[in-house]
Order: sequence, then structure tokens, then C-alpha cells
Amino acid sequence: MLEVKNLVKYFGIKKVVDNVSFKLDEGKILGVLGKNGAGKSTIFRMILNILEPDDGEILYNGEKIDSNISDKIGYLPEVGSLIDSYTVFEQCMYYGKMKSMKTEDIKNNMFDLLERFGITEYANMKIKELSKGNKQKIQFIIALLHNPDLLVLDEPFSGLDPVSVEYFKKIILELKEQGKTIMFSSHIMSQVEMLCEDVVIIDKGKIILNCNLNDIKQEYSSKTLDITGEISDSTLRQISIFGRVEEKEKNRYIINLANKERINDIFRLLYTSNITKFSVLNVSLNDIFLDKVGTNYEE
Amino acid sequence: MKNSKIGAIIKNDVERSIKNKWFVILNVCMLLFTVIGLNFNIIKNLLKNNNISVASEMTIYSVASEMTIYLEDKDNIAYEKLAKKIENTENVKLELKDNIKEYKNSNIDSNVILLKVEKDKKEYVKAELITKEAVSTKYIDVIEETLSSIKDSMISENKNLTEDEINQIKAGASVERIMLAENIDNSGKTSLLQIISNYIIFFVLLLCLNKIANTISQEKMSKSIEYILTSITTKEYIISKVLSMSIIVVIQFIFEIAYLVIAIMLSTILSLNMQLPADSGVTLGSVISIKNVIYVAMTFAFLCLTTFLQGVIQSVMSAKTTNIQEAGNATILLVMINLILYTLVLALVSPLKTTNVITYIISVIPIISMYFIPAMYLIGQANILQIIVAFVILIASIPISVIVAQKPFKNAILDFSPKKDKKIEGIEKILSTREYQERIIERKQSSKKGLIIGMAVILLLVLQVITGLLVNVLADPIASKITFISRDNIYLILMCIVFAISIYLPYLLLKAYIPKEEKINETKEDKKASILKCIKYIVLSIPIISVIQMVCTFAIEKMGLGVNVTDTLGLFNYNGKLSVVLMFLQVAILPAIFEELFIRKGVIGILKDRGAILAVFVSSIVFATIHMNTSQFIFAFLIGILFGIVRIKTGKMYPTMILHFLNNGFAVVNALFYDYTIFIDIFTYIIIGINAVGFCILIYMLYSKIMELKDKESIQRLKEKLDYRKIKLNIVENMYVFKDFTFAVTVILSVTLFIALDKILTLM
Repeated sequence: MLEVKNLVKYFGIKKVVDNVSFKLDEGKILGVLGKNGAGKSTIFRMILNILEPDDGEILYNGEKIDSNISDKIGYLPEVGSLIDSYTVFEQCMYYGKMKSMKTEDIKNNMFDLLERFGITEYANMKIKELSKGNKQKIQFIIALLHNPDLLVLDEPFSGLDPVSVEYFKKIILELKEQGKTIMFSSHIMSQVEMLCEDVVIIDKGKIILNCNLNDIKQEYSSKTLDITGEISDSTLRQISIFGRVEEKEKNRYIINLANKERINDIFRLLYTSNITKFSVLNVSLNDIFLDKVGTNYEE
Repeated sequence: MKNSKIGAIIKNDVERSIKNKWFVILNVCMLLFTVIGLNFNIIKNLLKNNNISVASEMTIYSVASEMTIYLEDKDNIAYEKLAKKIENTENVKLELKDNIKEYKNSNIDSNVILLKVEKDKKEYVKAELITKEAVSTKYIDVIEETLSSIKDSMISENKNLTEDEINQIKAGASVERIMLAENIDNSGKTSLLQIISNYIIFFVLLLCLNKIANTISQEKMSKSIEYILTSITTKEYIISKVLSMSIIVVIQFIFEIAYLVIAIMLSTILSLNMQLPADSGVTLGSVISIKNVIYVAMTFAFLCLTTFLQGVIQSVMSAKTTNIQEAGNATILLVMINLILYTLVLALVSPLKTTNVITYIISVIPIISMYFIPAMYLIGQANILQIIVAFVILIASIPISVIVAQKPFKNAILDFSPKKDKKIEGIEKILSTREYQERIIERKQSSKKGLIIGMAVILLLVLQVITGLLVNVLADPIASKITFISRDNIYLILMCIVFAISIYLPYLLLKAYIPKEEKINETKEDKKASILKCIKYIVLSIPIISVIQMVCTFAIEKMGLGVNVTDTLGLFNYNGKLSVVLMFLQVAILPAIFEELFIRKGVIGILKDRGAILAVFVSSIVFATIHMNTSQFIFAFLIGILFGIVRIKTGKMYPTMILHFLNNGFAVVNALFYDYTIFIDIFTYIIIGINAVGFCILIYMLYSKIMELKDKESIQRLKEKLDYRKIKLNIVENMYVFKDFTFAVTVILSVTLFIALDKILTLM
């Protein structure tokens, strides 16, 4: 559905997007991860045709993107894009008209969405009277207003309380079931983990990981062992041939294997030891991210 | 489909600004002002309760199809020639009259030119040209040409003329022009229409630019632009924004016309009902004429197009702003330009002046044409071709401006700096090094130092000019109060005070930015050593100054710039001991103290941490600049370098002060003490003595230095000291001092000031 090829973008003399390519298939959810200033928003802005790429191209259903096509994409900008002096309805009208919608459709869609979020009473309130979280909901509604097939959400969960985050997730999953394609960026790993099938990790403008989330988890998790028990030094020395051994607590060892086929060998080595726990660790996306980006990642 | 989006934006914007409480308030105010303004006479009459009629008939211009020249030609010199000349010109008649003075505003038509030609002893031919209103310059040109040819023929008739007389004749005929309608009070109403329309132009522009600035900065700050740009292109966005604002203004304009009509109706009704004199208000009939209608229509058309053009420019500027306050400031530039243009029209377009080619060329330039074309039309100086050309250029400039504006607008509104072609290897790495970032900070600080020095010098120059003028004004009143000191001395005292103040205040500004140095406690030996060092430098500098002086005097005389310093100082009228002392104070002592304080302590003090070479260089430029004198520039620059070196090497102020004093003192001592030849002799011998000693030491030092260089080690040491790459880097890094524009402004200002002062002096 969406294909990004060799995208390059400069800010002044600084290369903020460096040869980025990825693909997004119809009906999938893609999470774009990266540190602050990694270039996520710039990529999104280029997909939405707000900025022109210095090199490379973006194809939407095989067509090169222009303002006619970007018009059909639902977009939730990272920074609030609402005008304070407008009411919610006026704002929807303004942006809906920008998408060539009819007044009746705008009104109906807006009320449907407001009801879905349970905030119908805000329809005639001014934007400046809304809280940050509610503004985010209105932005989400505006992104969905013209019923787009592709949704581009830039940091959709920022400024939301946990209840609202759950609500957003629910709606995003519902949208996926309806067959919409969704692409979003976030720096909260747990959220991405629960929603996405595919992830793209970007650092300093470059893609450092682009794969299916389950695959990468599989790969990572089967490499790490968590063993509790009394292990003799000689056994430990033998184990350390297969991978790096780390003693977390007394009698608790984390073993990073170079090759996952060595699990059986280690299991066999330990049969004389007094083992109370032997498990293959389930890694989180956070661990993968840290491993890939290599720096301590904080929200 | 796209058009519908532009339409949507326009509709949204227009609706929002009209359904706005400020729009209502503004319009109520405008209605009130219009009604009161146009019925002012009636209201005044009502309040005064008397029936003094105020004539207020609007004078209506008409383009005269036929022109008659009434000629009074008692000396019989002009009739034949003029008759011959206008044979070729259509629709002009010539009639001889005995006395044209009998015609007044009330009894001549607007298509009559009264011309009186007579012989004059001084100018040979004198002419007086009287019209009721402005007439086309084409007639005036014909008359002026004829008169000039009459004068020319006089040369061939009189053969025994002196050169001066011939020049006088060749100078062209002097024509005194009188416009009767202009001289009468109430005829000021002729320009009422123009004044009103100019007010409206200003109002409309201000409103429009302000609205564009506000709406764009609002969309930028709310980031709604991010969302909108996904749906439409930048070009469409600019067009829709400017269009919507223009439509709002047009609506405002229509409202204003409605208010005018209401006010005029009211005025008519009131004057009828109250049986006031019919002409006490502005009546509807008096305003309407073909010329006025064309004028209004043309103004309106130009206004619409120019507003659009300025709107595009404004939108780019507003896109660069970061808050509402800046958005307001961004309109100032265009409003200022409009004000300047308006003033220019007042200055250049006048019925009393012939329009020259430059005015015609200027008048077709977009934006400028809005002011020039209607104004020129109103006084009959615009021709159709000019109007058409102006229109075409204006219309053509609009799409061009939109296309050109697109890119800067987008970059500005998204706060995005576009790709620069400059490719640097491994820029990411360089950017993230601490050295690089520190260097940028250093550069910015260098540039800030340039700003401060520039500001200080501007302050100094302005203070000198203003206080100089003040002294000229105040010297006489003060002299009349204080009788025991002569006027000249009071003038000198004031000049001294003013000189000190005008340098000391800028010095205070510099002082605030001089980095604080830690005081070192010197022992007695240190002090002794430093004094000896200072004396050494003073003695060494004197012969160098002499050489520089000789070279410069020679060079300046060769260039033909020879200005005697004593002449410029005005040393010709002094008498009495007091004035000698004052003169000496003003020329020798005060500059030595204050200029040294400003340059050597202030400028060098600020720049010292940027490297000694730069500090000395910049301080000499400033030193040369503040002399405001082209012939002294080179000398002051070289002396500045020498003094700068002395200042840096010794680290003390007094050596340069003494040197400065000696240099200036020597220049004036001859002129000042011409009565005391012994004194001059002694002074000269002392100077010669010091020169001789200095030369000897200098030569000895050079000799010993060369001797030292014989062994390789010392040559190596000298090479290291003079490593040019290091020096080059240092200078290049610190050149950012010159990056600040105030520095350039300073130099330009001082040069223009000097030239201007020079011109004024020669005129006087």
C-alpha cells in the first residue's frame, strides 16, 4: 500500500533522513520507533507531502505521492494542530472542507466519532477550553473524519491518561479489523508491542531494524537463558564457551547465547547441578531497542 | 477540486473575520467618523448657532479639450514666436490681452492660461504663468521652450555681452507659476478627494497586512498549517489567504462607501431641512463627475492589485514570525514603505512641476504605481500608455510574486531550513564535536563585539553632530548673558565640554563590555621596569610617527587631497591668552585623553581576547573613522596601528596618551605660539632631539636583532613566532567582528557625514 524508497532529507547541512526504505502492506499496523530527533516526524511529514524529499520517492498504491494523494491519508500531527478560537465543530468543518467533504458528511462523521469516544458534549466547546488529552482525541477524530484507508499517527498517545491510552488502542485495533492500514510512531515500547505486527527502528535518520515483531522476539528470546541453582565453577567455565555468562544474584545466572541451538547442550551440562529454575527469557521490545540503539532509552 | 478547497479557506476566513465582535466595533466607529467628518460644517454651525456660510463647493476637474492662452506682451517679444510654436499644437489658441491681472479665480475658466512676458534687466526675460487649476504639462513645456528660444535669440542680437551675461541668458527662462485655485482657502477641497482616498488606501492596506500577518502567524503557531498543507499546496495556500484577506478588505471598503453615502445623504437632508446655505455640506451632486469616477475606479483597481502583491510579501514575512507580537512587528516594514512612497508622491507629483522621465519610470513600478498613477492622473500628468503599462506590470508581477514566494514561505512556516549544497565530509561528526560548537559560540561573541563597537561609534558620531549643532545654536544666547568672556571663548569652552561628553558617553558603553582583568600587585621593581619600558616605547615611537607623517603628507599632496590641519581646526581667529589655552586644550589635551580612552582602552580592551592583531587592526579602523576626514584617514590608520602596538606591548594607557598629545600638540603649537618664537624654537629642538635619540636606538635595536639572527636557533624561534598559518587562522576566526552590519553602517555613516559636512561648509 505504501512504499518508501531511499528517502533522503537534509536540514541545512545536516542529514536528518538517511536512505530510509520500508514497505507497509494493506491492513497492517507499522510502528516506527526512535529516539527524540531520530527523524520519525520528518519521514511522516514527507509521506504527507508537507515536505519534499531531497532524494528518493514515496509510492502510495504504486503512485507517486502528491497533494491529491496525501489528501486521502488520515494524519495526526505530533504537535497540536488545532486553532484555539475555533469550536470543535468549526474545526472539523474547516479541516473536513480541506478534504473536500460535504457539510452533512462532516457533521455525521464527527458526531459518530464523538459518540465513539464518549465526548459528544464537546461538540460546541472551544478548543482552548479542552484539556490536552481531549485535544488529542479531537485530533484523532479529525484524522478519521474523512474515513481514510491509511492512517498516519505521529505520537498518538502523548499526553493521554492510561485509560485513554487503552481506549485509543482499542479503537486502533477496531480500525485494523475494518481493514485500515495504520502507521504510527511512539517512544513508549509497551504500546508499540501490543499493537504492531511490524516495527521500524530509526536512529540518526537511518533504519537499523525493519522486521516483523514476532520474528525478532523469537530470535532474541531464544538466545537468553535464566538459570537459578548451584552451579560449580567448572560447569560455568564449560557453559561460557557457548555464550556470555552474567551472575545477576547469588546462584542466578543470565546466559546470552551466540547460537540458540546450544540450549540443549547447556541443559545437558547442568544435569549434575542442583537447578531450581531453567527458563528461556521472553525479551521485551525495550530490550531489543536498547540492544539496537545502544543507549539507555528513557521515555 | 482544488478550487473548492481554496474556496473553503476563503469562505472560512471571511466568515470568521466578519462574524467577529471587533469587526462590528470597528465599523460602528467608522460610520460615526464618516458621518461626523462629512457633516462637520453643519455640526459646527449647529453648535455655533450662526449662519456663516462656509463655501465648500467641490471643485471639479475636467480634462480641457481646448486651451486658450491669454498673452500680455507689452515689450512685444513673445507673441510671434509663441504663435509660430503653437501652430503645430492642436486645440490651442492664442489671444493678446492688455492686462491679464484683471482676471481672477472667479472670472476665468479652467482652460485658460494667463501668460505675462516682459523684459527684465537681470534675467532678460521674465514670465508669469497663471492658471486656475493644474493644466497639462504639455502646454507649459511649449511655453517654456518658446521663452528659452527668445532668450537665445537675444545673444545673437546683442554682440557685446560679457561672459556672465551670456551665461545668464543661457540659463533658461524663469517662469513664475501661480495657480489661482490653489491660493484660495476653500479650494483646498480640490484635493479633498485625494486626501480621502489616500486615507482609505492606508487604512485598507494596514488592515489587510495586519490581518494576513495575524492569520498566518496564528495558523503557524497552532500548527494547523501542518494539517492544511497535506491537502493543498503552498501556492494555493498563499493565494487563498491573501485572497480571503483582500475580500475582507473589499467588504470593508464597500461598507465604507455605504457610510459615505449615508453621511452625504444625511448632509443633504440636514442642509435642506435646516435651510442652511446649500453649500455648507458636501452634497452628492458635487462629488460626482467623470474624472472623479475614473479616479476612484482607478484607485480601487490599483489598490486591489497592489494589496494582493503586498499581501504575498507580507505572508512570507509573517511566516517567519514566531509569535503574535512579531507578527505585528512584521507589518511595520511594509507600512513604512507605503508611508515613504506617499511622501515621495507629495514631493514629486505636483501640478507646479514638470514631470520628468524618471518620475514616469518610477510610476510604473508595482506598488509605487498605486500612489503615483492616480495622483498624476488627477493633475492631468498621466498619459494612457503609462497607465496601461503600469497595469500590465502590476498584473504580471502577481503570479511571479506567488511563485517566488512559495519556497521561502514554506520553509519559514514549517521552521525548516532547506538543504544546503555545501557538502562537508563527515559533517555529523564535526557538528557533534565540542570544539565546533564552541567555535560557533566564539564567532557569535565576536560578532557581538563588532555590534557593540559599531554602536559606540555611531553614538559618538551622532553625539558629535548633535552637540556641535547645539553649540552653534547656544553659543550666542550664552555669550549675551556672560559678558566677561568673549563669544569666541565661550564657543571654545562649549566645544571642549561637548567633545569630552561626546566621546566619554560612548566610552561608557564600551566599558560595560570590557572583560574584567585581575589586578596584579606590582612590586617596586616591577613598577620601575614598566616605567622604563614605557619610556623606551615612547622614545622609539616618535621617530616612527615622524616618518609616517612625512610619508602621508607627501602622499596626500600627490593625491591632491591636501588639507591643512590647522585650517580645518579654525585656528585663524584667536586672541588673548585664554583662547590660546582653550585651543591647546581642545586640540592637544582633550583628544589625547578621551580618544585614547575610547580607542585604546575601550576598543582594544574589548577585542584583546580575540587576538592582539585583530584588536590593533580594528582599533585603527575605528580611530581613522572617528576623524571623519578623508585626508586624515590613512594617517590616523597608521598612527592607530602604532599606538595599538604600544598599548598592547606596554599594557598601560599613559604612553599612548603622551604620544597622542605630542603628535597633536606639535601640529598646533606653531600656529598657537607664533608670538613666542623662543618657545617654538625650544619645542622644535626638543622634538628633533627626541627624534634623533629615537632613531639611534631604533637603528641599534634593529642592528642587534639582525646580529642575533645569525645563529640558527634564534631564526627558528622567530619563524615559530611568525607562523603565518596560525596567525591566518586567528584572523579568519575573528573576522566575525566585521560580520555585524553596524560596523559597515558606522563606516558609511561617518563617510557620508563627512561629505555632508564638507558640502555644507563649502556652501556656507
